[in-house]
Amino acid sequence: MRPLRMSDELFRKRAEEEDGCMISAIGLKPLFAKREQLTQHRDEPASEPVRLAFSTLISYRRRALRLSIEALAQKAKVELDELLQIEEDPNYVPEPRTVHQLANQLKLPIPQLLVLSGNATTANAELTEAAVRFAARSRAVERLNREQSDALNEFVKVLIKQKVENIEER
Amino acid sequence: MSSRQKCRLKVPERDDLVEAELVDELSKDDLVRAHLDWAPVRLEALKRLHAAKRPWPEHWHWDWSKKAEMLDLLAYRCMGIEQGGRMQGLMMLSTIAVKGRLAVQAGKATLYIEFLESAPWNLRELVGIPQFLGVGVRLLEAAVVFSEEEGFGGRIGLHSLPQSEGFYRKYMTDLGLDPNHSQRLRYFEMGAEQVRYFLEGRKP
Amino acid sequence: MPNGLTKRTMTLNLSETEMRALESLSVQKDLSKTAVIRQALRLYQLVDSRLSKGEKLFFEDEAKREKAELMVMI
Repeated sequence: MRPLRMSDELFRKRAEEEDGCMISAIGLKPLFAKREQLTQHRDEPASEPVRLAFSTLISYRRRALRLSIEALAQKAKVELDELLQIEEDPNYVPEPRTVHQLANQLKLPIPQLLVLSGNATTANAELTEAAVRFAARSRAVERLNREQSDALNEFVKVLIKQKVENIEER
Repeated sequence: MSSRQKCRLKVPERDDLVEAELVDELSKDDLVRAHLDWAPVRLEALKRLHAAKRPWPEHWHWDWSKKAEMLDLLAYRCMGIEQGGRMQGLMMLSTIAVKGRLAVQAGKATLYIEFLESAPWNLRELVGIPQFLGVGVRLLEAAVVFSEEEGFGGRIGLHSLPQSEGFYRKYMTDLGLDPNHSQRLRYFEMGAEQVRYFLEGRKP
Repeated sequence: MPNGLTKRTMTLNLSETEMRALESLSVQKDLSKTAVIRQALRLYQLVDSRLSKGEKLFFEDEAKREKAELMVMI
């Protein structure tokens, strides 16, 4: 390749300008990648409260089972950093495999968790309403206390009761 | 043998420049090694951020070993800056030209940067005191030079994660949110005059 | 091992029509004829890679709401 040609003096200046900046760029879907199902969910708004319910559910359930994040990651055979992200970032959509593994370890129903995590869609309005209520109730306090335990137990009961038909896994 | 050329990186808070190398064509193994080197440092940084209730970088989950298969195709090429036996930054380029969007170069062949990342120990947000500065600048410089070599006139384009927009805005034109991007990121492009400013300091 | 530094030379025999097409593309894209050929090769390989995985290649006309598969055997 041709030689780089920025002078040292200019480079020093540019390097200082870079300090404190996060250096990252991410392209359009690489052309080599398997085509994902772009069409059916393109216009679907990301349901933030529902995914917040998912993050909170995983976190609360883990704590209710007295598992550390590391222990759950190990048992579920998922990456620790992904589990951290699931609990912290409601915008993050985990891989279906991760959802399956977590559902098994936390004894939660898989289809419903796929919906909550953003991996599948359903027409079941009651499920999404229950998720929104749970998300709202769970935001009040930091630690899993009696109120949160009650909210968690109630939501889990709803999850198990709900029939999720015609699930479309993404 | 991939081509290597000497370049320099800056040590923070000092005026020193240290010798490094631009490797202009990385192999799949190089990417896997870089990932294995970066991942534990990144994970420790994420744990610290988590404990401090601070936000994570938007590219926390990137895995360069998974991007390695792109190098099976001529359509992609990866470059890196190596120093002290470690990759200090990586950049994946698309060698199939995209159409320029800046009015002055609309439709002209432009080199597109698919991914660009500085090693976690070079980011102040993650480690407090970065080991080196200027990795991003060097990689952008390499992209411009490669663009010239490919006959694209030094023109480059990329989509920026929100956390990095400030950096690219210094040298490139922000063409706004791109509705065709899966994450609706902002698209940036560098034209000929900007190349001169970036590489030579000559203001338009 | 990557081998981008080594360049090899090849003689390419093209018909008059093909050469005119190449020259026209070269002018249109403001690229050298060599650069045009290289772009074509990269694109060809990439398309071939996806087709061989069972994917299909389509042209889409959004205005006319028409989509047509590119039937190529490469």
